[in-house]
Amino acid sequence: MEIVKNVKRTCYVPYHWCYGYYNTLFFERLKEEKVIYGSRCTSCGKVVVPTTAVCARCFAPTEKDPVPVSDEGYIDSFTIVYLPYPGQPSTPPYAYGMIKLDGTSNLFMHMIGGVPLEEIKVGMRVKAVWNEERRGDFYDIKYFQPVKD
Amino acid sequence: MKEVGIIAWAHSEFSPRNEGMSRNELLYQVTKKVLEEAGMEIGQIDMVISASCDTVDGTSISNAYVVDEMGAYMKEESKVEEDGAYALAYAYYRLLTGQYNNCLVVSHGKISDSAPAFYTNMSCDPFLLRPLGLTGESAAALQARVYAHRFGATEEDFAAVAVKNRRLGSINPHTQLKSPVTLEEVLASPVVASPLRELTTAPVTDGAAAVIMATGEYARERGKDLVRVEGIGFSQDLYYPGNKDLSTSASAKAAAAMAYREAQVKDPLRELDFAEITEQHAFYELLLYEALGWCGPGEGRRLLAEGVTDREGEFPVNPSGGALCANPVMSAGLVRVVECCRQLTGTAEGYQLPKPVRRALAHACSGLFLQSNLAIILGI
Repeated sequence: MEIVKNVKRTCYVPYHWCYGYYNTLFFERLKEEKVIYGSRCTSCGKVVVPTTAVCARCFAPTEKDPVPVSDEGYIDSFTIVYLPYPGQPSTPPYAYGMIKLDGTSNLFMHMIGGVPLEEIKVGMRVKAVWNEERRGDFYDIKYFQPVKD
Repeated sequence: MKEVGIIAWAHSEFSPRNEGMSRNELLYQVTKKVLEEAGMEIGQIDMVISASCDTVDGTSISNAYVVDEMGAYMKEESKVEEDGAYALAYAYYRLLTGQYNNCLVVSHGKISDSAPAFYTNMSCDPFLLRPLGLTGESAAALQARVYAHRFGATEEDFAAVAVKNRRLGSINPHTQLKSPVTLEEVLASPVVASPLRELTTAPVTDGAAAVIMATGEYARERGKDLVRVEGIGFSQDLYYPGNKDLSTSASAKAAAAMAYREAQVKDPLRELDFAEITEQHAFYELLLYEALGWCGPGEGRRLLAEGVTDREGEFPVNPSGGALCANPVMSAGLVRVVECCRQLTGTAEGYQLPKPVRRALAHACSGLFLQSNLAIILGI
């Protein structure tokens, strides 16, 4: 006879998270325009991605109108994930990184793909690869792919 | 200012999967143990402050279900959804008000009931980081790459931390991983998320910890020795990792500065005798040497290589083996406090530091990318 030592259950909690004004701006424009938007701080003047209500450092509001930024930049940091776990975006190994988009002053995090993983390096130029079927969410950009300088 | 400190401490056994005990039983065990250490009955406890995590437990308001086992019936009880060391900070400020004599601080986490990756991914916002599948490991990996790139640190530098801490842990009877590892073994262990490997990452640990805090008057009346809290500092960094410098931890710097100010520590390396820090990843230890003010930016590996932070060094760090030997979720920081108390009272049997020690720093952290940090100065 097997001793019963635990019970297996899953917590299923559906959410409908509101994007709010600035996330709506960001994701709607990814979907409709294939353009990445950031926000300019009314105090320090820096442009950060994605669009946001507040400059994280200054605690100052950003300008109401979002700022279109480049969908190209360079890799500031990356990791190749080997660990399998539930809810992963794809099957390991895969890579994501922190990307300095041209004309912005912070780093944007996204997947890095379309390249053999061992070739990914810090400083490499990358460009967004867009999904043709866009739904107004994070994966309207498939990943950032290395491009020639 | 009022004198407040710790009069008793305890933690559970640490294991990767405590199949034999429920979280409630684990908590009852550790609560009874700490009361026994203090020579107190539950009726003598003025209030309880607990630390646990709803996602880890799979229960909203995770303290509600374990109130019986922590002895909080008909007492003032509140919970912090942070490491137990933050509950200790909360208790410290309450005791300073003079309204209470003592407080039971207790934390628990049975992470093996779920999975660490699930819990850390759930801590991400649902729009920008969670879709990446970001977890504690991959977030730390990104930070490790920034640190390595900025200062020219290598995987060998990170591995050397694991070698030191696993060697120190091998003589600590209370920890989970009691076997030393070689540099070659660390570097040959599987990559979890590059550049982090299995052996530069803390193990999965189920566990609970508890301390009883008291005012100086209460401790003296009862003839109990007090490990004094001389200063506490904590700080939060920005949330989105792309907005901050990941080669250091601004919040760890700020937390240390606040604790040093309160404890009137001007030169921590000389005025403190040792430290216990929550290095859930080997490179955290090097980064924290710098952020906590023990050396300049990028000099962490020099401090390690020179043996300054080893057992025989002038400033031992993690003489218990640290979080790389046992990482009980929600208790790892409070266990750093417990390990400081053992060393300060000369009760670290088998791994007592060879030099006399009177003053130490305990560090805890919370969130991805070392977002929140807490520093506590303890003294006898």
